[in-house]
Amino acid sequence: MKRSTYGWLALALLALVGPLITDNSFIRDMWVLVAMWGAVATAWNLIGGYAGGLSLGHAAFFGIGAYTSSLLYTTFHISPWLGALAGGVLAMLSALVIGLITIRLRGPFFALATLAFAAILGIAATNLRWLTHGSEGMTIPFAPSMNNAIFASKLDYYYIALALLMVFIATTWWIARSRFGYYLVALRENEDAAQALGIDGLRVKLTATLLSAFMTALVGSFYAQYRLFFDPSIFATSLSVQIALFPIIGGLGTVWGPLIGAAILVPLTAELRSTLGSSVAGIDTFVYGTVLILGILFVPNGLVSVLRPLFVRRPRPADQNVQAGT
Amino acid sequence: MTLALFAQLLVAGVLLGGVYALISIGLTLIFGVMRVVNFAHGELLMLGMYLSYYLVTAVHMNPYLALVVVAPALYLFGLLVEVTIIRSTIGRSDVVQVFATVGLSIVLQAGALMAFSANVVGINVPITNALVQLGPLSMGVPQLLAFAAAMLVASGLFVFLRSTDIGRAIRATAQDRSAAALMGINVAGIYRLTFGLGSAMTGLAGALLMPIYSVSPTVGEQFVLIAFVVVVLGGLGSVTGALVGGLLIGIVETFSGFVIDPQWKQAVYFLIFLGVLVFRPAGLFGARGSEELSTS
Repeated sequence: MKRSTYGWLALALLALVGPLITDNSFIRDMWVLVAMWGAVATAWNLIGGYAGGLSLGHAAFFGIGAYTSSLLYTTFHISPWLGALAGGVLAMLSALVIGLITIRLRGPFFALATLAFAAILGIAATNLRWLTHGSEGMTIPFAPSMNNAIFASKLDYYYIALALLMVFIATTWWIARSRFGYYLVALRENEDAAQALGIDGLRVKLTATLLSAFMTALVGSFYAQYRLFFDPSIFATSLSVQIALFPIIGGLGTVWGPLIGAAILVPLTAELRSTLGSSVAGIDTFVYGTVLILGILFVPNGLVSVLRPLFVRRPRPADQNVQAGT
Repeated sequence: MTLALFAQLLVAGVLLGGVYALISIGLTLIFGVMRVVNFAHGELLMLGMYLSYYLVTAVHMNPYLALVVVAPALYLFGLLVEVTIIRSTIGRSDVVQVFATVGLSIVLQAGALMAFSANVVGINVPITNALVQLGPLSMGVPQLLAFAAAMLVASGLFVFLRSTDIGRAIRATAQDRSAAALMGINVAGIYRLTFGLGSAMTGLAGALLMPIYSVSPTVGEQFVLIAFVVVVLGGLGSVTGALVGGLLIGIVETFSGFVIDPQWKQAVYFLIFLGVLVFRPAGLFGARGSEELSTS
């Protein structure tokens, strides 16, 4: 067996049995949250990392997922498993509308437009009281069962989140090696040149946005089922920023970057919040912000770019000399 | 709707629009010259408000006298931010440009939370509630002063950019950075000055808002979205556009708050925002194509 195969086996083993090591509730919560945020971050990475569409409105899709499955469940007793799919479809529809009007905007303007979109949904969720209970928020009664997608043990949630994460990472891995993935990167690097070569920019980017929205909404439904409570702040800009932060720190446009970002930042800030949060409110977000600034300025390609040389064998100096000499 | 009511709403809208123009001018100046969309703009405003708040409550300064302290203080803070963060983002990818200032906004907001707590505080001196009655119309004195300041700042900036040597150097840098550098203009110095000026104007706006609004660490979030709507509507980079955009949004907000429901008024101008981005992304007064300028 190759050496890297052992590495993958160890990683798989860690993911599967890691949470069994301790039944400490705080630590198990960390495992669930890392898998969950890793999954959302992976979804964001499709549009933000590969296609270069810097969305600051992914909280919109997350919130649509949470509200759709929860409303279907609490009013019509439709199983959240189906509700999550409905939320995903609804998020895709909204992504289609918002994508059609914003996708040609570049960089900061796309970020602003997506930010405004999530803000509108936040206002709607606050004011459509008959539907969303307004700022009181949505409470899902605790009735554990497979059909209700509510579980007494955090472990059950963890394996669901892990399954989502793995499917998303596999999807990204597959896309990154497909013709579609190369189209996305080409559009990110030089949209005009890519279009001139015959890539249908609108269609390709829209497809990535729809897929990303669908995935994000699924995790939104998961979040609702896990926390059993949320309010219109689920559409907040800070959530959208947080979603984007993990891939940026981990490595934009890489398969594993978003998960690495989440695996480092989620426990770090949770630890800060629990140890210092009570005495110094805001310290955890302060750290988030500082990490973001330092990361973006000094390690713009993410931690993956720092870690990769440790795992991938570099070509021997002799090989480089041959290249340099020709 | 009676004529008197219409006139009252219009006046209220115009005054509110003046406030909105005031908070947007710094943002549009910085974008116009440096092509930096400053996502931490609202936090600069928040800092100006807090500084003014403490000058009024702790030092018992007149809120309008506090301006002469707040504006220079924010100018210096702007220089600091430019040198430590903004400078290293110039000419880099979109993701660096967007998320460096997003990060700054998070840091400043969390810093304010640690320093000032989450409490919403305001100042209460006689002038905050003073009214001027003009026939059937009533106007708040702080609103009138903020409106007047917006006009002064906008026209002052206009004259400064038109007819001083430094102003011309700033406009030259905005038009073509490399050509300006070849003409012997110190581009890095112009950037520093511009960011400082933009911050000072935003601090000034914060101090002028303090008699009207309360301040909390998250106050920037409410205003920054309005400022973005205003400058995108007016045309990012255009000072005149910020003025006209501010007035338009102020009037739209007042009337939609009255006709529809105050709670939906924000949604109305976000819809306008999306509409502008779709149909005329350059804004009313902006140069076409600026929204599609990538980093260069």
